[in-house]
Amino acid sequence: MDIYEAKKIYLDNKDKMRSRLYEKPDLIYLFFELTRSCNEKCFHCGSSCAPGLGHGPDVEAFKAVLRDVKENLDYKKIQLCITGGEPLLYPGFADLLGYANDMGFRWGMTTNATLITKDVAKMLEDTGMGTVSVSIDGLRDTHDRQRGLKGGYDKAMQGIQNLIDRHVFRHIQVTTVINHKNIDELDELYEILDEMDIDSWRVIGIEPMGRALDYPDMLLTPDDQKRLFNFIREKRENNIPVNYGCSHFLGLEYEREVRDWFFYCGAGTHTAAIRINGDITACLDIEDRPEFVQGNIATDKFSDVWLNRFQVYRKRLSSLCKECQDCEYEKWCAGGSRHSFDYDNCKQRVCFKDILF
Amino acid sequence: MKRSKKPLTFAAIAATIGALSLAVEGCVYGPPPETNVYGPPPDYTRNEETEETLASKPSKIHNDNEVCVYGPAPDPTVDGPEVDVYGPAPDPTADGRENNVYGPAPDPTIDGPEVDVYGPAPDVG
Repeated sequence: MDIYEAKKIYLDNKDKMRSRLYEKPDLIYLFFELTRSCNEKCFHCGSSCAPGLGHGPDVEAFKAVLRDVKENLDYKKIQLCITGGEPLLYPGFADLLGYANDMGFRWGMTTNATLITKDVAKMLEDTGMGTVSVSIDGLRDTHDRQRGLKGGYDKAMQGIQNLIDRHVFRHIQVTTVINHKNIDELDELYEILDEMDIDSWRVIGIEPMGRALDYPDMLLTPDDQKRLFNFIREKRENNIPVNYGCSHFLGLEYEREVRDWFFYCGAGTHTAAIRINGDITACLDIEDRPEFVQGNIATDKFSDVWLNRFQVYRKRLSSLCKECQDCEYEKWCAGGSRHSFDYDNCKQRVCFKDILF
Repeated sequence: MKRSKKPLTFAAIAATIGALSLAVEGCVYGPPPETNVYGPPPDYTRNEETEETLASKPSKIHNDNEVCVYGPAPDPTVDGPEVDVYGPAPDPTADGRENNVYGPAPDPTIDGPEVDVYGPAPDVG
């Protein structure tokens, strides 16, 4: 049996798992969008965050969700994913995450790291942060330009080093969003990051959503895409922990070669999120449409919503797309990632068929 | 960057234990456990900790929720209106030209046209 046949068996199993999860979802990642304020303003930001956009529910509201989750769901399986905006701008940050830690929740954070001084790194240790992903989007000038903060690169790099110096965090990851203009910096950026004592590097392509929709010339071309995946695969062949993100079915050649798992969009079956307005939804990157809001923590109990609603996420995305239904890869792709789907026109915005396979 | 102690590609694993074995494993045990997604990296280590271990590690932070305690103090010279993050609702008109949000007014001799600061890199080709 060759590798492709073996992969097909894995993917077939994955599809069976998908059906089971639609019936019996398994919450693994619970996102708290603490704030939409950010001290940067990335041109590719999927949620169009910027300075002064305001914070999420107050600390007590989030704490109530934690108590509910601990009481009614298998909380030991759940990782809290703290995100924003820049989550460190949330005024109740340490109070909330210290509380989560004391309750036994594992938590990690996505951050731009510009605010992680030595004191903040210690605070993150004290509040039990286990994992962290820091955005570095290119070499110094590119990073600063794309993220809208002069000096942001140097601050972020210092923030990463402050985290490393604590020697306690279980996984420090750098995430880079690759676009048509910064893809030429991949090799040089790798040389820089390889000198740092980080655990992994996640390299993802820019997605056509949020603010990035305003910059179509920054989207990756088919040649860029292939170059990106070949770069990641080559690094992984040398046991260098570079990963592509969770998005998109990549075809038999690249599936499981550029990340540690086979494609599965877990929005609504593995993943739930609380938006800054208290809305309960699945993946924060999915377009914010009324039909995707399953409740609100001000009026609903999160565990009830998770267990009894979410039906919109628990069916094949391909059921909305005629083109997907006719595709020979549908049983493994199931319509692809929910965050990149065009719900107005019922088609997938990002499909690698005829690019990678 | 740390080096993985295990093969990272399916092809490399297959070269070690054989594609057939992989497929059998796939049949019997299902796909490997999922790792992350798009947020912070998955945290497996703490799954192995006991409740007793967790209970012995209380947070050292308790209700210490004063604004700016955990971030650096706002530096109006460098950060400009970031202090407004904690204050009143944002002024939508102020968000329009972000170039001036952070720090001093752009120096056209250094930065070029303002539009280049936040958008794509200037296309000098």
